[in-house]
Amino acid sequence: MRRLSIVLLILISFQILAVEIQAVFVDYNKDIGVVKRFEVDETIPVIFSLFQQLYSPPPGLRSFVPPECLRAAFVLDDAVVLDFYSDKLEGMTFYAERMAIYQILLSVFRTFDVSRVYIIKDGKKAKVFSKYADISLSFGREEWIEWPVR
Amino acid sequence: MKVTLSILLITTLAFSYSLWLGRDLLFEGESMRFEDIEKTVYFVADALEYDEPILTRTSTFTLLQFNKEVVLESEGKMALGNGTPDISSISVDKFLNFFEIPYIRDGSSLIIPECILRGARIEGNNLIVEYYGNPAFKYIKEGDSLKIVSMGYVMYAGNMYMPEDTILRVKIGNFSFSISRESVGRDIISLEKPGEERKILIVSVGSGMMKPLPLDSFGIIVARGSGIVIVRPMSPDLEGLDKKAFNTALDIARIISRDLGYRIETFPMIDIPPGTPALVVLLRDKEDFIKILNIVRRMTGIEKIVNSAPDFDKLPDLGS
Repeated sequence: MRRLSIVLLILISFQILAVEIQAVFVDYNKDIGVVKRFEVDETIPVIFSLFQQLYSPPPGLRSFVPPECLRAAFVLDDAVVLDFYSDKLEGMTFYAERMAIYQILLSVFRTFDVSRVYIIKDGKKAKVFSKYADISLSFGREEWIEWPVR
Repeated sequence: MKVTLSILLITTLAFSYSLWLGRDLLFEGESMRFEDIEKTVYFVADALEYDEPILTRTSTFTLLQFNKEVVLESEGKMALGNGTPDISSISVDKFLNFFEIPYIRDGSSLIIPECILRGARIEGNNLIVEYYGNPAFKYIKEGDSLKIVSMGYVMYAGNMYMPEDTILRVKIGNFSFSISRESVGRDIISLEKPGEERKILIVSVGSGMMKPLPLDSFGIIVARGSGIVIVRPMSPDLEGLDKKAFNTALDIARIISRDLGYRIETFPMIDIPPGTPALVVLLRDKEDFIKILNIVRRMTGIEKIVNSAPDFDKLPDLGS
C-alpha cells in the first residue's frame, strides 16, 4: 500500500513538473543537438512521454537512445533517477553512447526543474552506461544544459 | 529543623543540573522554563548548524519549532508537542531528549558536543573530513595512518570523545599531508607522496592504466579517431573537488582545439578517474600525438613522461 502511494506520488510529481517536454535530437549532417518541444499526453508520466519522443526522432533528425531502454524513473527531492534495462544498452558504438548520454541528460534537464540526474541499470547502481560512460556519479544541471560539443 | 533543611538542600542539589555545550556553560538549575528552552535551542542551533529555530509569537501564545519538534507556551505554561499547556518547566534531560539533542551525562553535568564529526572519506588524492560545529579535533600522522584526535567534546557515530581521545584512524599509506579548512564544516587533506615527481602519464583508451593523479601531474589517454579531445565533466557528488582538474583539462583542450582543429566534448569517460587532470584524445593522425604532447608539456611545465609515444597503428579505433 505504501509502495503504491509512493508510485502514485511519483506519477503525480512528474505531471506537476511539466506539461511541455523538450526532447534533444542530433542533426543529420553535424553533431549538434536540436531541441524539439512537444505537448505531452498527461495520462502517462511525463518522463515516459519524453523517452517515447527520444525513441522516435522527427524527420531529418537522429536519435541514439535505444528503443524501450527506460525501465523506471523516480523523483527524489530535486533529483531524477533513471533506471535503464542493461541489455538494451549493450553493443552501442562509442559515438552512439556519447550522443545518447547527451540527448538523455539535456532532455531531462530541459524538461524537469531538477538539479541532478542519477543513472542506474536494472534497479542497481552501475559503473558504465554501455561501455565508455561512467555513471557511478550523478550528473549536475550546470554541466548538462548546453550541448557538450564545442 | 537543621536536619530538615539539610535534606531539602541535598534534594535540591541532587536535581540541579548544569548543561554544557563542550566547555561553555549554557544553563544551570533544576528545570527549564520556556525562556531557558528558547535561549538554549538558539545557541545549540547556531553552534551545531541545525536549521534555525522558528519562533511565532501571538498575543495569546508563543510557538517554538526546532529540530522537527514544537513547544507551545501560553501564560507561563507549556505543552511539548501536541496538547494543552499544563507544565511550567521541564527537566534538562527531558528537554534534550525531546529535541533529540545529543549529549552525555557526567554526574550532574549534561554535555552537548561542540562538534559532531560526520565522517571521513578518500576521494582521489584527498581525504575529506566533514563535521558540524567547532572543529575541536586535530590530525596526527602515526605510521601509515592519520589519526583524528579530539581536542574537546566531539561526537562521532553516537559516541562522545573527550580531549586527547582518538576518534578515528584512516590508513593513508606513505603519504604526507596538508590541510585546507573550508569555511563551513569540511577539511580537505591533500595526500602527497614525499618527493613524488610531477609527470605526464600516457596510456591508451580501454587499458585501465590511468590512475588517479595529483593535481600537478597530467594524464593523456589516447585512441585513434576523428580529432576529438574529451574532458570529463564535473559531478555534483564531488562538491567542487574536481573543479581544478576540470579547468586544467579544459584549458589544455582549448589550446589543442585552437592549434589542431580538434573538437572538444565533455563526456564522463570511464578512462578518466574522477578529479584527475587528464584528457582523452582521439588522434586524427600519427603526427598529432607529438604536437599534443608538446602542448601539454608547455601548458603544465612538466618534463617527466611516463610511457613513450603510443604505437598509432595498435591504438583502438573509436571512429567519429
